[in-house]
Amino acid sequence: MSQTDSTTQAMPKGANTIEVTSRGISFTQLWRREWQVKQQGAVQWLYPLVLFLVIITLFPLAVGSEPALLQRLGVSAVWIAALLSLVMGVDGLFKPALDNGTLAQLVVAKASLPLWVLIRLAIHWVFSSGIVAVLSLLAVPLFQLSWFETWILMASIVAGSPMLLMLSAIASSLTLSLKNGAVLVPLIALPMQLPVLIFATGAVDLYATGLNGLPILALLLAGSIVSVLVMPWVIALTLKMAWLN
Amino acid sequence: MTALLVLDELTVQRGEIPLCEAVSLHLSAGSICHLVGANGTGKTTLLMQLAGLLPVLTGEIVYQGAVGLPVQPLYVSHQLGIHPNLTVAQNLTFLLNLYGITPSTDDIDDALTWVGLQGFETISSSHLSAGQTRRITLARLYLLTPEVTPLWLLDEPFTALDVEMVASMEDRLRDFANAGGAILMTSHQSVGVANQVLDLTEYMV
Repeated sequence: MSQTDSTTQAMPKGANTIEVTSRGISFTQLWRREWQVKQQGAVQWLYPLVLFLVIITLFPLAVGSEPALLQRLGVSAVWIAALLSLVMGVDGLFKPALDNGTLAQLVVAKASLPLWVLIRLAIHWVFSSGIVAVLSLLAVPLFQLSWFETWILMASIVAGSPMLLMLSAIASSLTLSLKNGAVLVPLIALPMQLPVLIFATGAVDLYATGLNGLPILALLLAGSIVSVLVMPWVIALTLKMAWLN
Repeated sequence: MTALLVLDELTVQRGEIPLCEAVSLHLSAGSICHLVGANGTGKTTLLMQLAGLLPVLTGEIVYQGAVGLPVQPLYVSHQLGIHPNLTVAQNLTFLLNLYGITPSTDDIDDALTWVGLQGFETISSSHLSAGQTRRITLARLYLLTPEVTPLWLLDEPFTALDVEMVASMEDRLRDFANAGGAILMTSHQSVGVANQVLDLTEYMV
């Protein structure tokens, strides 16, 4: 702890010459801050992506190189890898903000917590599921899926992963005040996420067999939209409860 | 003088445990109130209640004539709001953005110079000592005026500061109060600029 930092003093000039708005922090300023936090941070956001790559790479090595078997299991394997990498990545969603006082400063300044949650999760999605969706193209060489199936797989990840992220985020916020709460996150989140996994892989399978999987993809997308609209408010509430504990 | 903040029969309470009861205080524009009391009397808890971080279950708070918590008070505590991934300037900008202030580069430079962090603008906050990190959050005091946030709640603001910085801080607190602001602060050091004292020991349960 520095007790003897040298100090150059100047007479305070006050805020009479600086730009002040009455609304408090804006959407753009919150977005910029969270983007900077993610971008300038350690490469921790890469770890879940590496996990995703490891799973989808090891899977073909483990089950063998028979094309029919790989094609049958490929979609499920990619989705399970996507789910596990997403759940693994939510550990640091809110805990650092609680520990370093960002949450407290947001509450005191009466900033919109749901908006902050939404922005934080949106940026997290870009750095996690957004990249996973692109990496899912590796299913073509690894599992010998057709390009058509792989595009549908990618679409299903894009449509379903926001809902998965919201469910993981609420589990993360619920366990925030608990010691070793991170261990509980998958236990709480995974049972809720199972239907999404079933629907998403089902949609790709339908397309693969020549049937129309669009209604299921639309259902996933609708679920994601609803969760994005509702969950930030619920998560903000649970964050406040975690705060009070 | 019209009171900016009135506490009427307030219970200082953390969870189920009341620490102090029937705490009353009138804080007017120009007041610098030194909140004193032994460890565990509830000084930090009271500041957190006024900041809206802990609930007020018993008693009444009147702020600027209306019943309710202070609107956007400045709260300085050990919960600094400093993210280690960000640079010093980025952290200070965020802390000012919260109060609707969009500082220019010159504003940031001036504020950081005031707290002795000139030249640290682009340094990652993770490379700073605890004292220097604390100065980032204190740099806000240089730019905030009573028009922006009339009430400052300061929890041990002089911790980890050298003598020169404490003197500079006291000058700033005096200027803020003279401009119409009010300050409620805790400190285990004597506060020469305080013109009011609230001793929580008298209200302990």
